[in-house]
Amino acid sequence: MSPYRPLAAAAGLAAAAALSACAPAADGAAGGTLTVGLDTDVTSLDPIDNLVAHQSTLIVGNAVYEPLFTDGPEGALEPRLAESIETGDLRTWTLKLKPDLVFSDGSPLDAEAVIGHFERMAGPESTCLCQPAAAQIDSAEAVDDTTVRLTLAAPDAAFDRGLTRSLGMIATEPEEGKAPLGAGAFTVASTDPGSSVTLEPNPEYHGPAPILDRLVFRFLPDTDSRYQSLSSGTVDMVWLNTAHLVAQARTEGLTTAIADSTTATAFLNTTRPPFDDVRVRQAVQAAINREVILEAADQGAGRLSDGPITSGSPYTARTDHPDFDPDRARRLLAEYGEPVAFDYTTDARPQSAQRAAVIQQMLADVGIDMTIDTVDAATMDTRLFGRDFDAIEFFTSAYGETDTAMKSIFPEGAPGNFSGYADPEVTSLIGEAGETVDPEERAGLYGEAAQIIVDEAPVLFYTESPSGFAASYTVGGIPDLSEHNVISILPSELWIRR
Amino acid sequence: MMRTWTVRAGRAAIVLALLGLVTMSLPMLLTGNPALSVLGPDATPERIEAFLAELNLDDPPPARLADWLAAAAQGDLGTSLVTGRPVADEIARRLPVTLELLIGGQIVALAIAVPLAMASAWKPGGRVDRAGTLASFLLIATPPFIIALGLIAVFAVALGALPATGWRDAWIDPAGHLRHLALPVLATGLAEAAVLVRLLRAGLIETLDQPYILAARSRGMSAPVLLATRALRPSSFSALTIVGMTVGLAFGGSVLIESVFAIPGMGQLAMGAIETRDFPVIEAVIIFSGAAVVVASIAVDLIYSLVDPRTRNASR
Amino acid sequence: MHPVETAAAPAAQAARDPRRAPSRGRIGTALASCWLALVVLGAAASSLLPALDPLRADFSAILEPPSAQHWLGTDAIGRDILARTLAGGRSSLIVGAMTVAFGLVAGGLLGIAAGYLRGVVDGAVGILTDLILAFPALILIMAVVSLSGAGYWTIGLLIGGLSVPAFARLARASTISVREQDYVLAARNMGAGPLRVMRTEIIPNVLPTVGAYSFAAVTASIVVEGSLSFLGFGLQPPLPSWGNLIAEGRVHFATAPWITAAPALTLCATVLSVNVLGQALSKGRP
Repeated sequence: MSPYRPLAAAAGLAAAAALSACAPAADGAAGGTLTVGLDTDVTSLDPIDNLVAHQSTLIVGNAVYEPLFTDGPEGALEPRLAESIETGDLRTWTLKLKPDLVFSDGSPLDAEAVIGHFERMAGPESTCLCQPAAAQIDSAEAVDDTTVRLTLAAPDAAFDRGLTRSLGMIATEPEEGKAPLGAGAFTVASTDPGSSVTLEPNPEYHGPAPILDRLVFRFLPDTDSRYQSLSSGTVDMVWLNTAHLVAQARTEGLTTAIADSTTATAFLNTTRPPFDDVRVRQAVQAAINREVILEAADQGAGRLSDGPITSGSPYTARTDHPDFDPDRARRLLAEYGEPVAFDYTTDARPQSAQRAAVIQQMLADVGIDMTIDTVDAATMDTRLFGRDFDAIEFFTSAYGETDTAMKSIFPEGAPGNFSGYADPEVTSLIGEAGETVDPEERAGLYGEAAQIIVDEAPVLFYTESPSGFAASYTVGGIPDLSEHNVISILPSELWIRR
Repeated sequence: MMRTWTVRAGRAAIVLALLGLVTMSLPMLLTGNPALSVLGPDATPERIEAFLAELNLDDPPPARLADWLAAAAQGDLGTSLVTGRPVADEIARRLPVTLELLIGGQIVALAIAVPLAMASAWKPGGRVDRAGTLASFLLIATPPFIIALGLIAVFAVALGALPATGWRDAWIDPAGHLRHLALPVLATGLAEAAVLVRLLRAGLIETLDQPYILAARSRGMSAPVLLATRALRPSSFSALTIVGMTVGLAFGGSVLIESVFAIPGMGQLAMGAIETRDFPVIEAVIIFSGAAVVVASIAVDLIYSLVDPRTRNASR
Repeated sequence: MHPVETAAAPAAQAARDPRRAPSRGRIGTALASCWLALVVLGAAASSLLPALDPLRADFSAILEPPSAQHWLGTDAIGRDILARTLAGGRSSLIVGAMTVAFGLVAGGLLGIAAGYLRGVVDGAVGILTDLILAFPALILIMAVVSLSGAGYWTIGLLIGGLSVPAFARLARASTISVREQDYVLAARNMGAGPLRVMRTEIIPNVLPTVGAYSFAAVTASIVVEGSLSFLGFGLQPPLPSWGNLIAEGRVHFATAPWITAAPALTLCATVLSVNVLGQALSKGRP
């Protein structure tokens, strides 16, 4: 009944697959169609609409636009269209592009094009999640064809991380009703809304031509039938974000590009009772046994989350998460003195429902009366953004980028501070870190802030859960992402055995 | 006759008008706000307000319905908030997909249910009847998503005979189209057949007790001929009623089948629109599927009057 | 269990001799009644006995196969499947009962009135049923659930209400085919008023068809509730129902089939029993 044996076997198979990986490519077996099943309908390929920059659809954006940088192992930035980005004070940034880049129509992708893209993302009509990041660019100057000098309104340590997503997916100004052009390894051959997006190699691509003839992304909304589509060979590769299927893929020895990149958390509303009192928040935190959540909701796949700085973060600072201690919880509640009852808002996915049920019971054991309130995704967003909740589950990949997450979730008044948490020390520590050039020093400041956050518990951290891609044995070139924080695959490196 | 059908059409118009009013009240009924999914979480309150004001979601439902109808009369069903594409194009592309799925499902259901019900009713309590009863109740008791996932497990994963998910354009790839159509149609049809068998069987047993059938039986008319020529028609009322209704259910209810088999039909369009509160799409889907149901129910009434002339006289 | 055991022996005999069908029917009826009684008792017991708490999870016994301690095994968070299946029966019975109460009674009466009286009544009933049918059920359910939450009553009333058109139409169609029959005309000629004719002549003749459908409808309502859970609009977790137990269990079907098997088999057996009883009742009528 050891869960590790099949895992070891899977690792062995994966190693074998990796060894055999070089063979066909070396034979020059180019071509073929790779079909990937995604959970999101990519109805717009324009980076401004964010749909090519989700965790699961980043692969589409990477294929068409190839961002300036991609996420490497342990939070490193790997230059793609860019050659480098440098800053001395986190305020002025010098971005160097690779020489002679062109869009898929042959027009130049130079410093001016990059500035044009930034301006479009920053515009008042922009719906891009990157809009705030783009809008903080005070001035942008094309030093030469491949050099852009950017001056931000204020120092921002997280600025370069945004260049891995929509902000870094340099696109042309789109014609009415059409997708903009990019300089990635693939161009859009056809789109079938609600069904699929088909890509073909971009003849103007700056790097080595992709091995594949064709890359098809299919929208397969149902998680289980998506997995079955992989098992039956209907598709070659699928996005997985549920623990049981990740476990199954590992047992079955599929090639996987999976990392513990999604963090299960919950916001506690600190602006109203009962969670305006830190003792109640701490009591809830102490009453929850995260090991059980890991075993029950995630089938042991993944690991515990100890705080906002994830285990894969480039910042080595770690936080001490308070232990599971029901007696401490009871003491805190006794100090508080009033009966505690609250609503826990969550969605209907089986994993969320099980997590909520487990938490409900653990809280009942210390005398807290928690009601589970299941709502659909749109209502969930409305509650979250309207701060209309007691406690709300937040299952997110945001913590994959420490700088961005710290800055946008915890300072007082930050856009993602849904807890309404207002701790002057945390606000100033994170503010200071954002202006600190030295990464070591910054790590120390983040570490201090993270420890306060975990101790005061405006956000509950449960687990870091696996998500990523699984592929059949015919697919090669799949990177090992286990050391990554973000699932980012460049499809130009993939090939398929025919 | 003419008058009956005029009345019927008037009734349909009233139903559609009421449906339109309810539909246009939805923005007030559904919690959740389209601005968040379109503008993103960082949008300023002013932008959200401007965005919502442009949609006229707060206008009284009759006014919104009038606006919608005026635009629809010119072929404009609005623009999706999420994709920015015309809703009319979206409906035009997805309606045929769902219709095909639905009609295919009905054909499969009838092909299974009619012979099975006839065999069962001929000897109630016999071997065929008992096996059929058991099978149909197992099917009825199985949730549709389990049937669908089970079919995929058998035909796609284990046998590798059919694709698990997806959809191909009939004009570009007719063979692939049929292969992709097979499992969803079977899943739709099986669930349907189970209910139809029960109803047809009950109707047939009733009919077979009638004197004229007993007389024909005593003259030595063979079972298949007797069942098909004399008994089936008068026994098919309840079954026909159900067929007519599932047309409506399929539009709203094909969500499950379309989601499991990844078929770009109306159900999926509706589900996606609901998730993002894309009201122009939601409204068009409801009104179009509603109109389809109303037309189908008129068609069923028409078939009634053909199947049993007594209803025709009765409706004078 | 005693009556079931004594019933088994004659059942085997009857199977060999088709002419003894009536006795087989009686045994079937007995078996079905016993099963349904068990389900009802189980549902009652689960509300009364603390040992059968369907919500209590044992975190040290996750995904355990059936054993002496957990007769039907445990689910992903260590809740007892037997307790959940019994309690699931309660939700499913409530939803099923409301469907029949609503559909058969309200829908059936509306349909008979429409079919017999025709005219304005027929028009009004037609508009009502057409409207319910024409509105996509899922969107309606979402709107109601998002307004009032997904408790037993909301879900029961919704599914029951959605079944009204089917019952009404069946009853109406059946009434129309009956109302011109000689015996109905005779009753009318003898001066019976419409209410009396409907009660004495129409209802007994319409009931078999509508009744046959109501057994299917009970099942359908139980299954629909499960499908709603699958889409996230069913009964609020952690409240168990057979439907959402099956929906939850499918996630673990490959590794822990017992989670799905117990509620699914219970559901099937119950559906069959309801049907057997239904047939017995319709045979027993004069």
